[in-house]
Amino acid sequence: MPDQIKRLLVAFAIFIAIFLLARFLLIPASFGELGHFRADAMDDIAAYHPQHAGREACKECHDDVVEELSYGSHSTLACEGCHGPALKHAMYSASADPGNYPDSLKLRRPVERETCARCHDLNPSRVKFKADSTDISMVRMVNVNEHNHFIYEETNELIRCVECHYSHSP
Amino acid sequence: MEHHFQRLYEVLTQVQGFIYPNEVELYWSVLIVLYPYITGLVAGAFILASLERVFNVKVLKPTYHLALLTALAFLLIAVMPLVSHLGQPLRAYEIMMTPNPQSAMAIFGFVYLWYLMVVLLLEIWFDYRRDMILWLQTAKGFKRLMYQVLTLGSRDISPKALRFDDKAGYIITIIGIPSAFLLHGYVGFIFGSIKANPWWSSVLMPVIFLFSAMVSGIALVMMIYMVVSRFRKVVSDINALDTIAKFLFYILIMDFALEALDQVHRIYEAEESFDILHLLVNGKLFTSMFIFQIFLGTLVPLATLAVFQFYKPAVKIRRAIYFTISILVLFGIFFMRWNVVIGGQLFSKSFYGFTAYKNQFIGAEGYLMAWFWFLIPFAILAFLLWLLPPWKKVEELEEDTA
Amino acid sequence: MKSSQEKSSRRSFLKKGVVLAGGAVAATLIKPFNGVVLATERPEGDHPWYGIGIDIEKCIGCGNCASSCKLENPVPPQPFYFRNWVEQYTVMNDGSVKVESPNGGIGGFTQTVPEEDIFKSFFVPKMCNHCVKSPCTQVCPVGATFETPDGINLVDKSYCIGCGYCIQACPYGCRYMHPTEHVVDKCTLCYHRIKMGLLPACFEVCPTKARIFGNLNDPNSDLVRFIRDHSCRFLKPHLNTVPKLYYNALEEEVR
Repeated sequence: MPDQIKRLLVAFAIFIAIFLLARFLLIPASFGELGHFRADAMDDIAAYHPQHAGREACKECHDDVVEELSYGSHSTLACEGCHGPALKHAMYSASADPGNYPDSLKLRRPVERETCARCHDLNPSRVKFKADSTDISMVRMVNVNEHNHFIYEETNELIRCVECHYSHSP
Repeated sequence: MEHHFQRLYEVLTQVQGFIYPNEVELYWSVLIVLYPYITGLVAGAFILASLERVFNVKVLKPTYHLALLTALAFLLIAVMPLVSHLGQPLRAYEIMMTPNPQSAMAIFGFVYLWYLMVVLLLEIWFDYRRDMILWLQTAKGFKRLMYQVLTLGSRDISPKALRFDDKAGYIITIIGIPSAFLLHGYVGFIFGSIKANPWWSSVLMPVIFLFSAMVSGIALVMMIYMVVSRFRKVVSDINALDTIAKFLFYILIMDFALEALDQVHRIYEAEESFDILHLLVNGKLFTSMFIFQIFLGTLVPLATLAVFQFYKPAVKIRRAIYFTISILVLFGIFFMRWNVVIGGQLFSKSFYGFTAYKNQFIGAEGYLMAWFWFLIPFAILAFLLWLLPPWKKVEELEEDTA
Repeated sequence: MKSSQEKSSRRSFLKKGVVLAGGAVAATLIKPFNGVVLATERPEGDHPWYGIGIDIEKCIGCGNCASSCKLENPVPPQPFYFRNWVEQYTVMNDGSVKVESPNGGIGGFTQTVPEEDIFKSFFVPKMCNHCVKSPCTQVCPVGATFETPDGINLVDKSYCIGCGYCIQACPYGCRYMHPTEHVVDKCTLCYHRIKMGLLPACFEVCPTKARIFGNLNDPNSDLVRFIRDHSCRFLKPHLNTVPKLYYNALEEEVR
C-alpha cells in the first residue's frame, strides 16, 4: 500500500472515530425507542399544565349557576368560553380562603356587546339558509350595532345586552 | 422582538387576498436563497474542472486548479447560510447525529460530507501533495506549518508515488462528477419534493438546479480566472476563455430549455394552483423573473454567446464581454434561486392570496449577513491561492512515463 | 412460410393470453385484491388512535376555539401564530370566493359582503390534521417532530433545530416558528389534557358541539359514529396526506 494512502486512512479513521464518539455522546437517551424521535418528549409535552378546568370543576362552587345554565338555550355553552380559563381559579378555591381572591385569579365577567356579538351578531355565514332546523347552531341573531340603540349618558356607551338578557338563561 | 412584530404587522397590511394566518411570516429568507446558490457554484466549478481532467479538454488547463480551489472555497461555507438561519444553530450537529432517513435535508448532510471529504479534499490533496512537499523545503513560518499539517507527514515523491497520485486523482474525479451531480441535484430535490408547494413540487427541479448550477459555476470560474489574472498581472488565456464560453453557451441552452419546459408544462396542465402562480409570476416576481433571471441572466448572455459562435470580435473586446456575461449569468442565477425560494413562499398554500417579503438590511437574516456569507468564500479563495498557488505548481513531468 | 410464422405467433399469443387470464382468475380466488386506497396504517396494539371531526354546518364562527387555544397553550398572542383558527368563506353570486380570518377568528367575525351578493357563506375551523402520512414529520431532518403511538403529531421543542422545513411541507399552514423559543410549534391536540382524560381546549369550549374528539379505534366512539353518519371529507385529499381530521359539509371552495 502506498505511503500516502496509509496516511490518509489514518486521517479518515481519526475522523470517523471522532464522529462515532460524538454520536455515542450526543444522541439523547430515549431516542429511537418508539420511532425516530426522543420518546421522552411525549412525557415532556404531557407534563404541561392545563388551563381550562371544565364545567364540572365550576360546579363545585357555582352549582346554582351551572344548574341554571343547563336548562336554557345556552345549555351547551362552556363556562370558560365566556369567562376564560379557570383551572388556577378553581385550584385556588379548593385550597385556600375562597373569599379572599387575588385579582389575578378572578375570572372575566364579560358584559360588553362584543362578547354576545361573537355568536349573535347578524351574519349570513351563520344562517346556513335552513330556517326549519332545530339545531343548536341555529342561533338567534340581531344586528348588534343597531339593536336597542340606547346610550348611557355617563359613559356614552351603547346599552349592554345583559341589561335585558340574562346570559345564563336567556 | 418588538421590532420583529412591528415588521410583521407591517407585512400584515400588505397581505393580498387570503393567506393562512401562520403564513404572514416568510420563514426562508435571503440566506436560504444563498444556500442553493453557493452549493450550485461549487458543483458547477467542479464540473468545469473535471472537464479538463476526465474529458481531457487540454485548453482548460489554466483554469483547472483554480476551479478546484474555487469549489473548495465555496463548499467550505456552503452550509453556513443554512446553519446561521436555523432557529437553534447550536443544535445543527443533530443532523449528523440522528439524521432522519426520510428527510431530504438530513441526507444532504452526508452528501455534503461525502463531497467535501471524499471528493474535493482528496482530489486537491493528491493534486498538490508533491507540490506541498517541494514547497515545504523553502517555506517559512505559518506557510511551512500549514504544509506540514496538510501533507499529513507524507514525503514520498518517487515517480511511483507520483504516478499513484495521478491515478488516484483521476479516479476521484470520475467519482466526483456523479457526486457533484448528486450534491446539487439533491438541493433541487429538497425543494422539488415538497408536494405541499406547487411552485416547488416538480420532478424537473433537481435537473434544473443541476444545470443552473453548472451555468453559474462555469461563469464564476470564468470571472475569477480573469480577476486573478489581472491581479497577477498576466494575460488571461483567451483560448481557455473561448472554450469556457462555449461550454457556458451549451449548458445555458440546456438550462433555459429545461426551465422553459417546466413552465410550459405548468401552463399547459394548468392545475388547481395555476391561477395563483400566474398571478405570482406576473406580479410579485415580474422583475426578478422576467427582467433579472430571464432577460439579463439568460437571454442577453445567450444571444451574445450565440453571435460569438459565428463572429468573434477582437480579443480585448471579447474579454470585456466575457467578463460582463459572467457577471450577468451569476446575477441571473442568483435571481433564479430567489424566484424559487422566495417565490415559493409568497403565495398562500390556500391559493387565495399573497404575503409580502420584507427583509431588513441588518440582523441575523438581513442582507448584510447574506453578503457576508457570499463574500467569505472569496476571502477563503484568496487564502487558498496564497497557500496553494496553481501557477507555481511544477509542470507535470512523468506524463509520458505513465 | 410467413403466414405459418404469423399463425404460430398468434397461437402463442392466444396461449399466453389464456395462461395470463387463468392465472389472474386463480390469483383472485386465492387472494382477493386488497390494496385499499387511502388505507390508514394504524399501528399495532390496543391503544387509542385519536382523530377529530368538525361539523361545518354547526360552526357559528364565535372564535372560542381559537382564543381558548391561545389561552390553554403557550402560543404567542400576536396575530401571526395560530395552532387553531377559523376561516369565513363567502361565495358570491358571481362565483368569486372571499375568505377572511381576522386574527384567526378570535373575537368573532363580521360579514362585510351585503347579503344580496352572497351565494353561500360558512365558517371552517382549521387546525392540525394530524395526518397519518404527515409530510411534516417526513421532512424533519433530525426527528424532532414525530407521531405518537396514539396518532398525534408533536414537536420535541428541546430537539427541534428550527430549520422550518416542516413549515414548508405542511400543506395546511398549521405550523409556525415560535418567535421567542425559536423552534417550530404546532397543535398538540392538547396532549397534556387528553393524557389526563380531559378534552382538548377547543373541543371543551365549542358552544355548538361542532367539534368531535374521539378514538378512531373504538367503533362506538362519538367520532366514529359522526364519520359514519355524515359524508365526511378531508382537506386536500389529492396530496394523500391522509388526515385524521374529518369535515362534514366541506365545500369545494375550501382549501
